[in-house]
Amino acid sequence: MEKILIAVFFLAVGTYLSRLIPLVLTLKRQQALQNPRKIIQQLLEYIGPSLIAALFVISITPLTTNVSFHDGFRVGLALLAVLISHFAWKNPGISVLVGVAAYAGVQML
Amino acid sequence: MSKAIMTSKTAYMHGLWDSIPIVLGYLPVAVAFGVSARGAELNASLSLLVSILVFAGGSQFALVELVKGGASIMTTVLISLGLNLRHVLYGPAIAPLLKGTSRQKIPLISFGLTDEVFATALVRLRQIQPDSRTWWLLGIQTGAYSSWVIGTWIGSVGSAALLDLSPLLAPALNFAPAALFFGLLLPMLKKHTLIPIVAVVLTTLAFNLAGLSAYGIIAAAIIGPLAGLSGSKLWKKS
Repeated sequence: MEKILIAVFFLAVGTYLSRLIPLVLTLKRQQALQNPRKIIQQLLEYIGPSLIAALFVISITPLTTNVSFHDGFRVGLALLAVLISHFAWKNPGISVLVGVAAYAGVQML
Repeated sequence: MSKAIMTSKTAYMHGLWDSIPIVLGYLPVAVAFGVSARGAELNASLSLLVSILVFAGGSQFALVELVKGGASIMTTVLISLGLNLRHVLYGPAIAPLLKGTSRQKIPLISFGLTDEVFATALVRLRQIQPDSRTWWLLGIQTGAYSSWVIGTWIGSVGSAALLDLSPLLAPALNFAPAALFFGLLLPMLKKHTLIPIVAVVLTTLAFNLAGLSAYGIIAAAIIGPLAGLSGSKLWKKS
């Protein structure tokens, strides 16, 4: 419990500072951070998708542990539902709901 | 909304109204987070505390996944923070629209600068008179933040009842984090991100198969950007 609290504290402070510091600095010197070095900008651009892709793989792995056709089919169909709802509504909340509903629906079959 | 003269109260209420699409998106994800956190043995108070203090969806799900997987504090914090690195770009992008904002309000505005709030603000702030922008932003952030905290509370307090409701619901909600990360990944799938994403998926899979999933994310944070930089050079040459 204590370890989790420490992690939550550092995550909260880090997240807040990542939002606050660049805004404060830019408001102080409007020109300073508007054009960060290209290489840093590119690295920041790639790190988000990279981490989300990694977390996606990690979050999906326990669902397909048995590597059975049924597990794969259920996950594939639920992901397809997320994909369709993403293009239809562009709303992550709705996509999650549709995905979970599809996953539960296939489980019932 | 036109650039009509607004009082601070009207601007705040307009912001609150404009937060409705964000609220609709946040509520189910926050409920899923509450349930997911309970699944990782975080009690209701702790789940709520995470949402109150952190207010960052992807990072919170990452925190839960990493805690569940037994990762160290350092790994958990670094990986979860790494997910928020993109936030450092939001302030500089939005600052030109917030010239003249009082110093006292900046810490408050910064706290609620999430992906969805930032994207909405970047478009809508231009349509609002400069001296009302801060209040409008505080209004939209109030709506977004409240829905996130309330949703987490519903998910964490009601999770036992929700999970007892049907034996199908518990395994179905296990899919929520995967659905969220997939949903967040989809808009990022572009020509220039394809190479880093494929490289990361293969790397993480390899680490997972070796039973080292926590280290897979660290490898992904290094390999992804490097593959992206190499890929961008390839795209330029071709």
